[in-house]
Amino acid sequence: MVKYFPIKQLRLDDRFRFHLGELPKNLIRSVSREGVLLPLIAVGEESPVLVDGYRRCALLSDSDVVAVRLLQDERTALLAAVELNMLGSAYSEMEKARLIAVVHENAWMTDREILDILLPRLGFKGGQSVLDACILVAELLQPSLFSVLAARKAPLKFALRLTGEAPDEQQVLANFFSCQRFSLSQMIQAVDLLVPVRKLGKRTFSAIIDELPREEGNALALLRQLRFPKATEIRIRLNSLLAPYRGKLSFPEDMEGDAFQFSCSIKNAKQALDCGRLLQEISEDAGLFQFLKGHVCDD
Amino acid sequence: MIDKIFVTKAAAEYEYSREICKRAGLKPELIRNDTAYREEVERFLPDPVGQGKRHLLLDVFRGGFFRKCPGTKGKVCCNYYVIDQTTNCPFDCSYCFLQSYLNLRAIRFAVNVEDLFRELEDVFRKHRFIRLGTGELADSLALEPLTGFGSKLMKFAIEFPGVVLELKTKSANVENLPDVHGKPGRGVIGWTMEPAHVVSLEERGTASLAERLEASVRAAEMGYGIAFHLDPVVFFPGFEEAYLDLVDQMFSCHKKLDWMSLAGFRYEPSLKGFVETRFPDSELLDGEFLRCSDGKYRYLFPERIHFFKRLVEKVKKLSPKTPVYFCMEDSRTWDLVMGKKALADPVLEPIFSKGGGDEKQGM
Repeated sequence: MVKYFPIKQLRLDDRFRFHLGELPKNLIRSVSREGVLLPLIAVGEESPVLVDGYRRCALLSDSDVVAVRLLQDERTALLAAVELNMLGSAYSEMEKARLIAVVHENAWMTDREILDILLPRLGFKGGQSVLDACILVAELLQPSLFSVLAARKAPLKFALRLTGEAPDEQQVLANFFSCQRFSLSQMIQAVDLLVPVRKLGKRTFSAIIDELPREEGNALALLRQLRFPKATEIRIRLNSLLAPYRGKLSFPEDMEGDAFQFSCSIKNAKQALDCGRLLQEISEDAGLFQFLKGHVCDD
Repeated sequence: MIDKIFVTKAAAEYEYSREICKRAGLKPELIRNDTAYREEVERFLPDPVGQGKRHLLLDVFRGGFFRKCPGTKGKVCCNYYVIDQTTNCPFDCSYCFLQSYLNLRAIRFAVNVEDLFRELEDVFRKHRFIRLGTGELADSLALEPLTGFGSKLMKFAIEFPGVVLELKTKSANVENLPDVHGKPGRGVIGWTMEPAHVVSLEERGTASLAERLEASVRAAEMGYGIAFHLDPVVFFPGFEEAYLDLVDQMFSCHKKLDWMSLAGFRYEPSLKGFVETRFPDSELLDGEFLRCSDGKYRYLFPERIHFFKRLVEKVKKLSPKTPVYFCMEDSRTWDLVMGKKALADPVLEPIFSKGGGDEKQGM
């Protein structure tokens, strides 16, 4: 049944605010020009509780009248909302996790129904382990970290990994990610680096981050140096050896090599002579051979 | 080790299924097929990887059981053949690639072993020499007390001259294997060997180092060749001395091995998540890794070379006739660790004989 209500008559319930980000710009434009075209979804007839349409409502004034599709219970209303949203601005994985956790917490569906009906409609592959992951993420992630991850559309797996962190460490991560304005991929890299550095150095995230020299810029590069001290040492040495021959001499990126590679293009006799001289110079560069000696074997 | 046995409709027809259930003392659950296991059981497991390892799915496999080990692109191949009769393993090792490789979480055991033996007989009659094993996607003897499959296979294969069958394991289940003295083929029992520190931290449910060594002595007494696989070599504080000490222990039990393989721990990116979530105390990912050209992560090249040299030197000193080879390392690593002519060393003849392509004339 669809009825018309002034916005102010709709009751709001934060449990149903599943979309954490803002409306896409084209929808904002559409709502401001045409109003709300697609009925909102709500439960209850006398004073309906809004289930879907929070972001659209926020763009209207209290006196605006909107069409509302009234459904008999939360379960039906939620499924209708999910179907509608998955057609258009689909939920991110963090939003889906929260939705599933809310459904579970309020017993609007049984576990079996969540696995058989809700997960497939949300496009989640997997079974009980996914349901458990959603509940853990919603329960154990600190709100600040949850927001940062949701803003970057983090995958459930990454969020789940962070649920194992103590609340204060989560807080430190949330602040670090926000301050550094990390992208999702940078956040994942940062955690990949921070966790082993913490484990091996027996320090907290906070202590590690505080020690990063602020003026030197790239936090990830600095973390990489802490995480991979030997590889960093080799790379620094290699870079200084290769610097005089930039563009001509190289060494495999994965450092799996036992040889330097020389390449150049020769278009005339002068270039041939120059290359010859450079090769001569390289062949007499004791540093290169010292590097190989240490790199592949001592003898 | 096994909590539940599921039997597919097809497998229920086999006497072997009944035998296994009886030995396990478990009432089997009859299911339609492996898809039904996935949809009706696996989907409801909170920890599908861990719990699946305690589920035995008896099934009938209609495809080919036998194939050449694919090795890794760009790495030296050791001409090994594998039998995929069982997939997955009750042991839970943090470094195991099966965690990210298999798409069915139960241990799938094919009960139509007569089909396998027919396929193998055909292969064995065509080849002068062939080295094969069942330990690629499963532990060859972990379920031996329940299935007795290792014994059945050994009894069958050992009658063919030129066949070298390796049963690779981290268990100590050798009691019921047949005595193979004087048989035309060669039976080899291979053990993954790790220092006790790694066994306790990274290999849940497996036999201890001492148990493996004791079992290897018993197997040798029954006429088996012994192989040890230092794979994966895990770097941890003090690892060099721990592995060198392990080599001492190995050769205090055996003067010569049929072969010994070496490989540093390497991993596909997809394995990392499993280690982090399923093994929070693991030290596996603590080392320094670099992504290599095949997409796998390996320890730093100089560190690997340096350590492998020490290790190989020690083995050569203790047992010069034991063939030592690398698994999934390129020819450069071979050259640097073993010397330029290592691959032509006659000691390695039993490993690198291209038996698979060596068909008998007129067959």
